Amino acid sequence: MISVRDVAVTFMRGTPNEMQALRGVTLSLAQEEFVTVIGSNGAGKSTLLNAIAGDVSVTAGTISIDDKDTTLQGAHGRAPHVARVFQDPMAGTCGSLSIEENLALAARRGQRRTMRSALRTSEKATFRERLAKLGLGLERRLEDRVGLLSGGQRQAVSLLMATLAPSRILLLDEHSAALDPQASATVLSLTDQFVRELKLTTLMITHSMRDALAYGNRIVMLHQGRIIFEASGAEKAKLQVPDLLERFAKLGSTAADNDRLLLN
Amino acid sequence: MDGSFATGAAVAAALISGGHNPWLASLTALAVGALCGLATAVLNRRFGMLHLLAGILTTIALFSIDLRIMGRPNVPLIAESTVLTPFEALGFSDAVTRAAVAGIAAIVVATLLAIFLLSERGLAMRATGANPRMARANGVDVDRNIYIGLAMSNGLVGLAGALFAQFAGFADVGVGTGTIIFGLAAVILGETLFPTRRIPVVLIACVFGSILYRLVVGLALNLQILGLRSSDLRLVTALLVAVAFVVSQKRGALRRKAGPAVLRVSSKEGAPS
Ligand SMILES: Nc1ncnc2c1ncn2[C@@H]1O[C@H](COP(=O)(O)OP(=O)(O)OP(=O)(O)O)[C@@H](O)[C@H]1O
Ligand SMILES: [Mg+2]
Repeated sequence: MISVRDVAVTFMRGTPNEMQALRGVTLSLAQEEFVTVIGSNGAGKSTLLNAIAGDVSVTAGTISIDDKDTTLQGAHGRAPHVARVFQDPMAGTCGSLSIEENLALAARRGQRRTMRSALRTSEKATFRERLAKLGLGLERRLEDRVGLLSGGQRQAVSLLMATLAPSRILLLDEHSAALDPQASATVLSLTDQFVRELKLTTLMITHSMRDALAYGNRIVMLHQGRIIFEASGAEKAKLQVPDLLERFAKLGSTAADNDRLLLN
Repeated sequence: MDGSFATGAAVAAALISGGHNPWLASLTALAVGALCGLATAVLNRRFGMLHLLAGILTTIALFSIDLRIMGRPNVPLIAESTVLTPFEALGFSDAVTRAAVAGIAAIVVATLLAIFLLSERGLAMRATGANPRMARANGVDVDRNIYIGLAMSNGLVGLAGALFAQFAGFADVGVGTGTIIFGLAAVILGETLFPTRRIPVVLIACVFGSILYRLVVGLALNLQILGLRSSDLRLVTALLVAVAFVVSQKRGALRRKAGPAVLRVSSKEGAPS
């Protein structure tokens, strides 16, 4: 189980540019829960994911994985438990390495790396089989550099990489947003397939309200660094895009009110 | 890089002229070179100094340290017994002995390096150089890899300095100048000769690149019609690197192969020091 308790993150503290990206977020994910996160630009969604992954250190609060406090651990220390796919297809893969090298690197996440050869014949068969599941023909291009692939293909490889080694949580930060509609749909349906097959606990940020409702069993709405709405199970299943839009519209007015308060 | 080369030469020369075993002296030069790399890594990672600046700073400091180690700017090794001595006893000509010993050293180092780079640890190090964020997300300790990488590369440069001193028969505070550019020239020429990413071939390409570099520079300086003097060495080197770079860029553009691959190779090898 992953639990985020009263987490606050402030960037550039003590400077005129101080930015409170998270202002006390509490969220826990039970085993095999698939949570989607929505919110406007700058709401703090990426910051929340980066805090869970250990890329951003928190100003207050705790983050624990399976009741073990990991708040002070860095990203590589948490990597045995945390798998992730970045928004930028370039970020999650290594363009100068081949597909099989990228997969081999990811397959060792959370294990000690040894002086044994990184590419093993026995593993290649597994890689080929898993790549075939992507349905993109990449199983025939094991030795091609990842830099030669399209954005959608790279993102599919990123997703595969994130699922090669076991994890307690899979973090997805708008991982289909940079792709064209068709590739985006492919990556999303692959995501759903992997999450079901491997029973992954997942936190997925998306800009698309439709996707946020279509996938997962809980939805969380972030606004100005706080969780302002949550729905799960049957309640989530009943939600429609217009319901969410209405909530966003309401926020618009309160946000405006806040601004007015400040000005007075 | 420049600093570690001269320091390796200085350490080996000081030890050998002090009557120590030349093999031990060479290994000590390797260890000292590794320490120089670690110094750069500490400045860069621990104190957040820009890697180029950290490298330059280490190089400057090493200049003074070299003078301390040797006690004077230049130490002759002509009369001393070096790693070459046992091979000279075999009775081959001087040129053959030197080429053979240098060749063996290159093969041994390249083989060890290939084994490392193809291993799980080596793969993690290559990922660290190419995409640190991705490496970290996959559980690679990026900082540790930078420390190890800089120690390894500068250790090898220190060893190269030690061998150079023994081959040339002297060590001098100035021998390191330009090492990083020579290295870059070797890598670029090698990559132009063998455009590949397969690790063993890449290493062989580097070895042939450095030989080719020496040949081209030697030829250019010796051709009477060009009218060059030995003092034009640096100019020839700079031109060679620039031309090779432009050629590999052009080729990169045509083949959609990452053009500045050479730059990536040099950044993977860490900050110069
Ligand atoms: N490293 C940083 N330094 C300073 N400010 C930052 C940093 N990272 C994020 N911020 C700020 O924190 C706020 C929240 O950013 P975050 O990236 O979490 O938003 P988001 O919800 O992911 O937005 P988007 O939908 O645009 O991706 C923003 O105002 C952003 O400018
Ligand atoms: Mg974001």
